[in-house]
Amino acid sequence: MATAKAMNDAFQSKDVQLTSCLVELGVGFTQGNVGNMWAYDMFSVFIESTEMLKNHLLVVLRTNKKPFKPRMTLGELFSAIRTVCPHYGSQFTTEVNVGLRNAFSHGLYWIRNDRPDLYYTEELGRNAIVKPLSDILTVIAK
Amino acid sequence: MPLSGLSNQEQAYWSSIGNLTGNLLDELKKGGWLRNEAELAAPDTQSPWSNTQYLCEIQRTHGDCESNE
Repeated sequence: MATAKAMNDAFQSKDVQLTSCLVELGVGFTQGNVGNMWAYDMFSVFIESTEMLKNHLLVVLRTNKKPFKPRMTLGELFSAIRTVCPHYGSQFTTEVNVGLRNAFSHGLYWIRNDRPDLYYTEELGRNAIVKPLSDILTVIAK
Repeated sequence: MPLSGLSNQEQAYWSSIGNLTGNLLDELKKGGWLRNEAELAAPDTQSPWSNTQYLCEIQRTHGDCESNE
């Protein structure tokens, strides 16, 4: 998390210097793709955080009886929580089990060089969903 | 979790998530799904987390915990 915070601080407060520095390295960074690094880091932090949530829950839950078991995927765990917690289970899991989580977990997302948007799909063959990365680029372009 | 550095809107969101998480844990506890302190001290040997050392190491890497080193 400390690394992610440093990345956020760097892009939010030192964006011009950071971009210039990386572009001048001449290794492939451009004005248009430096921001992708920040986005990829945030995607990674998001996925790690959801997996850590699962790990912590598996520590405190009684996993010796159904529907819980010692080894569960996040999807299985959330399904089990919804089963045993009719009041708050769905509300809680909906906050974490968003469509983007599946896309990030399974690499079903992409960023085009010509548009400041994030594209993702819930599974191969489905239509792409578009989310603007404009917040990131607004900061980068300062 | 400290909420400093966040906008009012972000603080309100994370505060609501904190309340929701508390309510969920209460519901799990009432249903008898949470391990008690004795069970946590002597975890289920079938669990991959019976040795929480690994989880602590992961937490140090990904979280804000300081290393003991």
